[in-house]
Amino acid sequence: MDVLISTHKSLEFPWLLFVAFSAFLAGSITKVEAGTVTFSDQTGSYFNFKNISEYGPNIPPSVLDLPTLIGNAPFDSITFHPTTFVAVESNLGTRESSTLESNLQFTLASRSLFGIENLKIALAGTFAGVNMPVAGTLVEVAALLPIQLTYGGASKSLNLNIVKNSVDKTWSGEMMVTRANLNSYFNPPSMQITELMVLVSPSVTATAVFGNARSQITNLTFQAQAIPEPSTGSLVMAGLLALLSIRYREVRRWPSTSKNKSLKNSTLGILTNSNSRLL
Amino acid sequence: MKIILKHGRMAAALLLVIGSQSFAVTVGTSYGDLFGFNYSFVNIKESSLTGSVLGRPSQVGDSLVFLPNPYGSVATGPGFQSDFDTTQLSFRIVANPGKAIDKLKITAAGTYSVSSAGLSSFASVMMSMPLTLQVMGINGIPFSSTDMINGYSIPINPSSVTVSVEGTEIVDHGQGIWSGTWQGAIQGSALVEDLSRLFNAPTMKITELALSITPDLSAFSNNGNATTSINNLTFAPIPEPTTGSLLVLGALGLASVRRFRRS
Repeated sequence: MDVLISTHKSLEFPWLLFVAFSAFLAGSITKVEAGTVTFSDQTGSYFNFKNISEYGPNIPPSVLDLPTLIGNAPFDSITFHPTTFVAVESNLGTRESSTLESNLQFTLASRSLFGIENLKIALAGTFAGVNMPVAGTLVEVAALLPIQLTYGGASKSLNLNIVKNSVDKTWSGEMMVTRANLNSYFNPPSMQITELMVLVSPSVTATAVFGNARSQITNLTFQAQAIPEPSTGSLVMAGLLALLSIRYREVRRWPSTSKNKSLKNSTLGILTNSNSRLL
Repeated sequence: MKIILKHGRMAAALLLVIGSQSFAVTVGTSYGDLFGFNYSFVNIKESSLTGSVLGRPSQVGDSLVFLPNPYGSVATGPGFQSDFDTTQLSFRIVANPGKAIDKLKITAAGTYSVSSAGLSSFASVMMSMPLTLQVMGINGIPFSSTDMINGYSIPINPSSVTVSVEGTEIVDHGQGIWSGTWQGAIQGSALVEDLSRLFNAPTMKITELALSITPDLSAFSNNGNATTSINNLTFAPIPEPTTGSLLVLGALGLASVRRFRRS
């Protein structure tokens, strides 16, 4: 080793090796530092947002910040207003890129007697892109939101279409996953899905050569709409049918006496009225 | 000596590598809440790479006022120079009971200065102020829908200024020093239309609004000087005219009609 570092040229070789090894080590450290932040469950009138956690290479601390629950019949939603979900790049000469990403996972569980009618996911943000007035300038900004829905061990991957408004310098995207969509994705045994695992991986990227770039997410909202479970409705219908059949039998047991006829009429009358009221 | 040299270089290399692996971390600052007569500003937060740049806000009447000292970008010196400053400010405007946010006036003011001299020299400044709004409450009831999230950009005048010299020919605004004041505003009736356009619901009464604004300032130069800064950023929610003030306005209108007829 002493021989190797005794000349200038041989000195460079282990030094570069060491840099490469250190780069690998630093990369490993970054991965080791990746962690998880857990948020408390959010309980609405129709849905529970359970097991909310955020993880990724830059976590902790959370970059999405605390969620806010808002309920308004028949909706429940959680909203994130992140203040540090930003990638910034300011560069002269060389192409450089900065990316910030995170993963948010939670379980959307409808409360008893309700199912998931639809789930709406919306994202908003802002960006900046300024080119230096020279040749070779390049500024790029991007925002992505891949989505993974999991039910009963099966997963469906989706991607939110994020629109870039170059006039207002804003990002916006919205997607609605309906009950029909969920049924087609997962073909559930019951009519309605009542529990769904949601994983989203928002990321922002800013790239610049002779320029400045910023990409940021400022709003991320999940809104679920409830619908009464079909079992509730079917139970009510079954009960009504049972009542009808009992009444029908009673009427058929005492046919054509005037007393029974009047009884029959009155019974049917009650039945009709009660039906019309019930229906 | 060789060993010291070896270990010194290694330590330097390690520091270099670890430094290159680190990513830009934003620093958040919380300014708490401010309560006014008609409106409250809740959960006021700022986040930037260098901590608080807008400074602690104050409440003047029902307005939220930032007076940065100052916040901006500077690119000056020989060769290519670049500076980019950005910060995110977020808060919620909550109308007190019985009040609504009819209009929101946002004003920003600052200064710029650009100068360049010499072959292929230039100096350039650019300013933008995009924001996102989310309606969080209507008629005093929390609003859960994602339908009312939208983006907007405050018109800044001018949004960019560039001076450059190519050879002996004067290009653009020419050589010299420019200075002035730039400002952007959403105000008055324009805002009513804007909110209606943004949320497509002109008759609703917004009682809670989440706002996130990102003032971006850029300065570039090549053998020139470019500076730009913000010195005032004000948010003023405006209530809808009360019944009393409408009656007074109507009475004044009638009086003017009568006076006009007599004359």
